[in-house]
Amino acid sequence: MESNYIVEMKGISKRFGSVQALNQVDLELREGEILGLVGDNAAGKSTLMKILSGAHVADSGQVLINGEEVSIRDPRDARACGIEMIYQDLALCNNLDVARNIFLGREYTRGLPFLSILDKKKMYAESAELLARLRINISSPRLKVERMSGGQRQMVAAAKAIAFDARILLMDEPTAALGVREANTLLRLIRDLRDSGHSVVLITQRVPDILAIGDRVMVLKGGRRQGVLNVSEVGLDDVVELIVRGRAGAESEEDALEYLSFG
Amino acid sequence: MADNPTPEHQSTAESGLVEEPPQGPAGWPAGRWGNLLQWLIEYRAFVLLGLALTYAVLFVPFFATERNITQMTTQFSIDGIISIGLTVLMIAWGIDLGVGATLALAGVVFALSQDLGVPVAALLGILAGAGVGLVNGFVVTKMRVNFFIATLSTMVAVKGLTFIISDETTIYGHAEGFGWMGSAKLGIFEFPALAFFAIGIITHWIMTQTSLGTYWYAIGGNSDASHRAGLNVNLIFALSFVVAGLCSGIAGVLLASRAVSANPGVGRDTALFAISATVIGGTSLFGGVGNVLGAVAGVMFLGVVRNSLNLLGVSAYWQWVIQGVILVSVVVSDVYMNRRRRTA
Repeated sequence: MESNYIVEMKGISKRFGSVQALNQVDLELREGEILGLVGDNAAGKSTLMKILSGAHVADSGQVLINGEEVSIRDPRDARACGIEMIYQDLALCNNLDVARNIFLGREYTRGLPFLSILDKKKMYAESAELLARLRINISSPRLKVERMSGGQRQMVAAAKAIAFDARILLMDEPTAALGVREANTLLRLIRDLRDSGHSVVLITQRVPDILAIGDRVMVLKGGRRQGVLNVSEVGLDDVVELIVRGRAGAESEEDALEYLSFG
Repeated sequence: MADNPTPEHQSTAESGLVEEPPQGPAGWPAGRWGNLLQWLIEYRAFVLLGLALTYAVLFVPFFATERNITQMTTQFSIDGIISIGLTVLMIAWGIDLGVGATLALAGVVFALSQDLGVPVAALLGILAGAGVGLVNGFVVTKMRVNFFIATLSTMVAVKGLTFIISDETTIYGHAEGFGWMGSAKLGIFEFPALAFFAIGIITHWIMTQTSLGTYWYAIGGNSDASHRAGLNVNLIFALSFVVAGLCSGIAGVLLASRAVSANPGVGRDTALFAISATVIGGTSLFGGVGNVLGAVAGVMFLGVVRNSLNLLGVSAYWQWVIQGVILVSVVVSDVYMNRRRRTA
C-alpha cells in the first residue's frame, strides 16, 4: 500500500511562540483521492497544509513525494514538486484580469528576454479553454477579479492552481464563503479533478462536503492526528465524534450535538 | 467514488444562507448612476483636460497661440516625464517624495561633465537619477524602511550632495550643443514635449504589454499573492524606484539643457506637481490601480490650468491654493474609490 502514497508527511511539528500548532503529525495522501482534513478551529489543519505548500517551514518532520524525501522551503519548491495550494484568502490580484491571475509568474512571452512581451492572445485563449474545460461560469478571461462574486473568485483560484498540471492540490476551506449553488459547483469541480487524476487535500469545516465527495477523512485536534476514516464506511456522527472528542473522548455530549446541528 | 451523486449542500440550505447573485459587480453603487460615477472617476483626467482646454481656448487671451502652446507644452513636459515614472512607482504601491532633488542632481551632473561631450554628459546625468532610484529601492526593499521615510531621507542627502558638487552655484552650459535638447523643435513642439509623449507611449506599452508591467500591477494589487505566485517582489518593487529615478534624471537633464545652465536649487515644487498629475490621472495612492495615459492627461490638465492662470494674471500664491484644492479633491475621490474597492 505504501507505494501508492503520493505525499507522506511524517512526524511534522510546528510551534508558533508558545503555541504548539502541530505535534508529531503524520499524513498520507494517495494518488487520485480526495482526502478531507477536518477539525475544530486551531486544530492545525491550515498550518499542516502551509508546511506542505512552503508557506511555513516545519520545526521537525519529513515530507516524501512519491516515496522520496523532499525539502520544501518556499512556494517555489512546492510548485516544483507539483503541489499547488489554494489559500483561504485565494491569493488573487483583484486588480488584474482572470488570465493574468492564472498565468501570474508563468506568462507566455516572446521577444526580448529582459523585456518579455506578453503573448496575450495565447494566454486569453488558453484561459478561456481552461474555464470551459472546468465548466466555470465566467463570461470572459478579460474580466477583472474585483468585479466578481466570491464563487467566481474561488473558481479562478482553482483554475490558477491546476493550469500548470499540478498533481497535488491543497484547498483551504474553499466552500466557506460560498452560497449553496456555488459551493455545489465547486465540489463538483473538485470531484472532476480527482477523477482526472489529481490528488486533493480538502480542508473544510463542513463535514457533509467531505462525506459527499471525499474518499478518506483525517481528523486533527489540538495539533495532533486523531485518526483517518474511510468515507464509505462511516457517517457524519462518527466523524463529528472524532472531531469533538478526539481519541480520548474527553468532551461533553453537548458539544457534539452543537457540531452536528451546525454540520 | 466516481458514481457519487451530485453533492447536496444541505448544511447551508438548512442554515438559511441566501444564495448570492452569480455575477455581482461587487462594491459599486448600483445602476446607471453608479456606472456613470465610476466612468467619470476612472477617466477623470481626460474629462478635466477637455473642460480645461475648452475654457482656456474660449476665454483665456493668448492661450491658443503657437508661441504659448510651444512654451506651455515644454513647461509641463519636463515635470510630466517625472509623473510618468511616479505612475509606475505608485502602481507598484510606492512613492518618491524626492523627485525634485533628483532632478536637480541630474542637471548638475550633466553640466559638470559637459566637457566629456554632451551625449556622455546627458547619459551620466540620467544615470545619476537612476542611481538615486536604485538607492531608494535598496533601502526600501532590503533595509525594510517605509518608502515615505526612505525617499524623504534620500531627498535630503541628494540635495546636500547636489549643493556640494555644484559648489552652491549655477553651472552654465558652454559645451557645443548643451542647449540642443531643450530647444530643438519639430512643428510647434520642442524636444522635451516630444520626449514626454514618447516616454508616455513607451511606458504605457510596457505597463500593458509586457510581463514586467503586469508584475508592477500585481505587486501593487497584492504583494503577498505575487510572492506566493513565485514573483521576486523585492526586485520588481526596487525596479519601480529605479524607473522613477530614471525619469527624474531625464527631466533634470532636459531642464538644464533648456536653461543652458544647471541650478542646484531647482525642483522645489516638482514632487507636488508630479504627484498631483499622477493622482489626477487615475493612479491610486493605495497601489495596483492607475494608467500611464491617464497620467499624461493629468499632466496636460495641470499644465493647461497653470498656464491659463498665468495668462490671466493670477498670483503665484493663489495658484498654489488652487493646485492644492485640486489635489485634495482628487485624493478624496481616490480614498472613496479605494474604500469601495476594498469592501468589494
